[in-house]
Amino acid sequence: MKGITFLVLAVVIAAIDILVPYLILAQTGSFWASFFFWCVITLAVIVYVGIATRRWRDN
Amino acid sequence: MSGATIIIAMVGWTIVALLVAAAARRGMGEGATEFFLGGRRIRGFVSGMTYAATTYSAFMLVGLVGLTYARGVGALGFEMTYLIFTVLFLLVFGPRFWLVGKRYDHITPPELLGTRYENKWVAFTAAIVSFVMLIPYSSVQLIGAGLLVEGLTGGAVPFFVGVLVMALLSGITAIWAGMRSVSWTDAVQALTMIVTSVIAILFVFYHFFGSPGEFFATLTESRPDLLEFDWPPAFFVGITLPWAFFALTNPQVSQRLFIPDRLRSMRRMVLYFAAFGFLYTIISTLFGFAAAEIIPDLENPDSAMPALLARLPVGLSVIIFVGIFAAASSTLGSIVLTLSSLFTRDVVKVLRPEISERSERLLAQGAMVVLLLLCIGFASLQLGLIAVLSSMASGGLLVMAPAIIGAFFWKRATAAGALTSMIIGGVVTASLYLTGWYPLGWWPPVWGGGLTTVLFIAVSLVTTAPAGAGRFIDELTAELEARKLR
Repeated sequence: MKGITFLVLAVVIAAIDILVPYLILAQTGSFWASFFFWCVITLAVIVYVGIATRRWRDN
Repeated sequence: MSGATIIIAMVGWTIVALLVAAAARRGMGEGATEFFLGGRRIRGFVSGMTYAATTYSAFMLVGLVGLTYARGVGALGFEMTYLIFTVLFLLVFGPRFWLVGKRYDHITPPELLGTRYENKWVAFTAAIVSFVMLIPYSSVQLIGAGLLVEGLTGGAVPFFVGVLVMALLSGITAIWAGMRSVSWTDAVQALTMIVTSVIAILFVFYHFFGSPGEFFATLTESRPDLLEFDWPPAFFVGITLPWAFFALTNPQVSQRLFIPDRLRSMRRMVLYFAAFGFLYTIISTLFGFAAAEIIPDLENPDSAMPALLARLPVGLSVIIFVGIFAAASSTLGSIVLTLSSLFTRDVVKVLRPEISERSERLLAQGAMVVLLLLCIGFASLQLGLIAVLSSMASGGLLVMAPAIIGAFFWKRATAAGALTSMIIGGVVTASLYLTGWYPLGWWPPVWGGGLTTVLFIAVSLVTTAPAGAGRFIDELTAELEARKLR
């Protein structure tokens, strides 16, 4: 991954990761709010990394 | 829980670890690379598990449980944000560390900085910063083990016995066979951590609530406040920021980017670690929620997990205890091994470059003994200051982030920029922690990280980049492109 691509991706994910719970989910006392959101966004990033690393081959 | 039960559990676990270490030692060759990096021949699963066991310490089942107990779902957000940034950093920096490490035969992350900036004092400074930040952090692992043992046995097994057993277990495998032994025992410890915690949380769900569904319904009904995210932004950013850069700035984990035998193994390392971290984080926070429901009104949130353990059947408590003990000892063993490599490669070799590999290894083994004795000494004092120094560790190590990122991506980055940012940034961050002064309510890593970045850029722009900086980055870029990684 190029440095600039990573920088943009990291900033966008950080913004979503922090702003959505603060601005939209903060007052919702349910597992389906912030708890679920953070699990889903983390899982999405892990899946993305799984796909992006498929090219990590040795030949 | 009786003292004899705990002693039997600790001795039993020590025997298992020693058997694993002995098996690992059989495949070990000669030389520094073999001792410190397992000869760069560690396969994907073991690489992933040693990365996970090194990263996830006793903090998870003690500190994170307590944080969730006291402050709710934000604890999950903090830890998941850490995980997100770690896997993203591994995606970008994993292959870069691995390729450069092989090309230049680097053994420690500071060595990589020394090569890129063509200045041995950059490596020396990075090593010293790591020592200052990680020795108190290691001591806290010992303190945690001592308190856990003492608390679970009602004082029947003294604090100091827990400290000594932990130090012995952590040190012996690392001293005996270096990274091979540490990574193998880490793999066993990581599996122990995850299996024991899954069993325990399922037991808690069914024993106290009837089912997982009932647990979620009960908590939503009685403690919705814990599921609302009400952390002040300064607090959330303050504790999350340094951990977001943990994968780059903590040498005990970044050194593990050198160990996989091939790129495919590194991919497995990243994915196994990510899966482990995701599951372990969720389980740890669920323990915190469960404790808040079962045993509310504890004065000290950090006692939530021990208090929960006291309400479980003895057999299950022992299993969880072994899991926590494994988490702490694997983290401590990895840090001690890494610090010993930093001591020999980045401190002693700077002063005496002609030292042989055999002497280097003996020196590292001696350094590990001294480091463990230092940690035992710190732990036995039980000073409040150690807790401050420990929390300072991740924030303090953050000052290395600009120099590490710049090494790979910015040809204009200079040794003067790296040195200035690490030294001044480190002193300022440490001073803010030690004085407890949080300007405008923002935590020291925010100020330290910002200052470090500004200093790194400004000083680099007014000084001359090393002659080989362009070549270092260009060659790496060419290799990444040849492998279609860029």
